[in-house]
Amino acid sequence: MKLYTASSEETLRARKLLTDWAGDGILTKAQYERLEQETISELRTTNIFLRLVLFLFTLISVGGAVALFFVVSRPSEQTSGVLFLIFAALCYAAAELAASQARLYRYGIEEALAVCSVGFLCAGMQALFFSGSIFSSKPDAAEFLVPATGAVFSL
Amino acid sequence: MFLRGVFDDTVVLSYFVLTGVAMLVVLVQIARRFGRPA
Repeated sequence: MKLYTASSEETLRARKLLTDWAGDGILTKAQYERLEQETISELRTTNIFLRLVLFLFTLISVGGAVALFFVVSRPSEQTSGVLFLIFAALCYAAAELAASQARLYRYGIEEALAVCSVGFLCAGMQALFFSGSIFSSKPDAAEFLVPATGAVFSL
Repeated sequence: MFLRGVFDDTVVLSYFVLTGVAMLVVLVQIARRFGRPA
């Protein structure tokens, strides 16, 4: 399942090639401007620096908001697991909305929301299915299953 | 400066959330205003 159409991604690739060719001097300025008009994409992208900063601040905001919720409500461990799963679903929905409605493409924000979704999913499963903390004095080997699986699949 | 001497978790986390969201809004506005369409 892909949110972006093949033509949108093809247009972005073509536009990147145009920029490269213009930089290499293969295209004249007039040719570049004409071809640029023919490869306008509806997707929003940004440069790598802004992408990294947006990614970082989205992580900080989402993490802070979830931590604030837990500090204020102080739920039990089982309830925390359910809440983490709900936050995972919310983050995933927000990432989908950012990509499909706001047309963000490698913008940092939707990527950070997807990362938060996976992190909350792992935390929720850990809290729900393994009652003891992995930081307890005698951790069970099975308690490392969810973090290890999450780490392997994120590679 | 604002966080100096503040030890309440709620205040610190609220500060993180508010400043983080504010930064996101400003950065997106800057990206829209000065960025080029893809």
